[in-house]
Amino acid sequence: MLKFILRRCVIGVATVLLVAVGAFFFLRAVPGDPVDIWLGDYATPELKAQVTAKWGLDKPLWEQFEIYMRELFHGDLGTSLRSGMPISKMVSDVYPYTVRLMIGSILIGVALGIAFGVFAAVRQNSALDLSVMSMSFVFISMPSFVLAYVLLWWLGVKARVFPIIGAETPGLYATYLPHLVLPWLVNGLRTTGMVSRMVRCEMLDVLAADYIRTARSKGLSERLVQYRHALRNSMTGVLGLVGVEIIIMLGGVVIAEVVFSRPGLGRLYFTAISARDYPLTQGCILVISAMVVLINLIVDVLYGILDPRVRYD
Amino acid sequence: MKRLLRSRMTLVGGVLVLAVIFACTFPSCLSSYNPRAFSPEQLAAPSSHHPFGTDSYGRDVLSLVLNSGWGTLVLAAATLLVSAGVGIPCGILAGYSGGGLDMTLSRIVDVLMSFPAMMVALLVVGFFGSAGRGPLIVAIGLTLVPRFARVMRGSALPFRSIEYITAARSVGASRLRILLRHVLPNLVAPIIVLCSTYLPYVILLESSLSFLGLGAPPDSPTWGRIVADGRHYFRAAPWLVVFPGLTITLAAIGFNLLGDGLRDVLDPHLRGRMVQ
Repeated sequence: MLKFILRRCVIGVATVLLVAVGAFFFLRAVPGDPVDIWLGDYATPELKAQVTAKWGLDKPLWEQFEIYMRELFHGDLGTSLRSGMPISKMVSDVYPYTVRLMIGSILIGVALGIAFGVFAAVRQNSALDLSVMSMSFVFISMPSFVLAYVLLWWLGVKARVFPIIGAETPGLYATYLPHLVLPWLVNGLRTTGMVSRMVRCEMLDVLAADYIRTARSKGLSERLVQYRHALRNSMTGVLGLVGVEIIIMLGGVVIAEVVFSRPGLGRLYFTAISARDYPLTQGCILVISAMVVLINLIVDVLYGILDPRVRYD
Repeated sequence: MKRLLRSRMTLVGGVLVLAVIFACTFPSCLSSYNPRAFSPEQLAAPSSHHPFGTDSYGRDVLSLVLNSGWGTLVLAAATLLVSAGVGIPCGILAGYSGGGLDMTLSRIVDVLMSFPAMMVALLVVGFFGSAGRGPLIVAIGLTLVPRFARVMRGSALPFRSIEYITAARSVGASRLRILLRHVLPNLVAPIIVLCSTYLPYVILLESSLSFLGLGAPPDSPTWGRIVADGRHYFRAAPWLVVFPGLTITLAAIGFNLLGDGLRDVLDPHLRGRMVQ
């Protein structure tokens, strides 16, 4: 187990590095000059040369790459072209907001998804089953920004239950829930739909299996059969889906953060791209891919805990 | 086909898709306004004259939505074509050939899929500029290529050791001939299933990018673009966001239902393996 985790960590670091190298060359290969974009109409040849030199973009590509790599191995993500701030500080400033958003979205997606799925499966083909599954279908098919505006209009503008924009103040716990509930729903409900469909499907497969009949004929209560046997055995399939869904939710934070004007990694990444801020974009890509690697590792370890048949070798 | 029609859900999906396509093909049946004509009736609430209301230029939102329908669908289809055109050959080649080629392609797929699709697409479309539909197709296509390749690789894997392939090889058929004549025809079902599953995915991703202002140009908008333009007036005129948004949702529901039905009939094994 420990060996497995160690090996996966090594592969993970290699993947992140590969992504970093890929991002470095991709950004410089595509059209669009950050200097032009920043200067806009003020661009004169002298000014352009001055800014290009200041940002270190006049050096040969190979030298820029060498500097980037050297800094990276010293734990330095560089400084943003636009703001001149160290990127590690910019990232660590907004990082907690994204983490709070992600944790809630995952909880909503997974917990609500499992609850819906089980609820529908044990009432197969009833009207309740149909309505819960139709709702899941709507969650899957609705773009998150549409859901965001529907919720904002209904709960923010009409009912005035939740604030429309802005984010929680770190440390002030009373501000957390009002500012987080809508972003959680917007980013999480798609996963709720996906997970509930899968849970229902897997549960129905498992409930038809022979050992469930055995468990029933032993005289176990229906509830025990459903939860102890059926739910637990359908979890391994669901876990794979959850792993994929969490990565999709990580992508979804861009929308949630832009719609609700929250600070966060997604919005930082979006603004970095719009400004063609090379180092900041690279920094965001690096952090996000590290998060993905970590998520995948956690999911793989959970596999082993949920299903003893999984062997780490 | 009979089995396809037997499922009520699939039927609902089919009817929805046909309804959306019909409405977008004959927009004049539902709305007689010119979607480009400005009028003094700015930001009018939904009424019997303008069922979806009007936007900030006084344009009828319903006819705007209907007239950009084909643009949205064609864009989605083109994206699908591009990513299938690249992903399917790569996947089949990797699965059938094995060895170093398989290893290399699989690693590339792993790296591409280890980053959120939304963020990959954002990066590509952001850096190539919102200069129209080309970058959008490339950006969304790029996120789909590894998904096509992965499923196709898995489907092509067993053909390495099937007897009639060995027979074909032993009579001297070239690899290209084997792949085209013997392997590809057997993979038509999963390909259809993949395409029908990813069509709503493309519509949703495109609308998200357009929403962030990185999608279709304003002169030939897609549904996502209409929502993006409307969001600035969201408080005064929520219909600008809600109705085009619900249209996207409706179309996606239709294609999703249809895709599910096709999958259950054509290739039930894919049920668990295809996750967006």
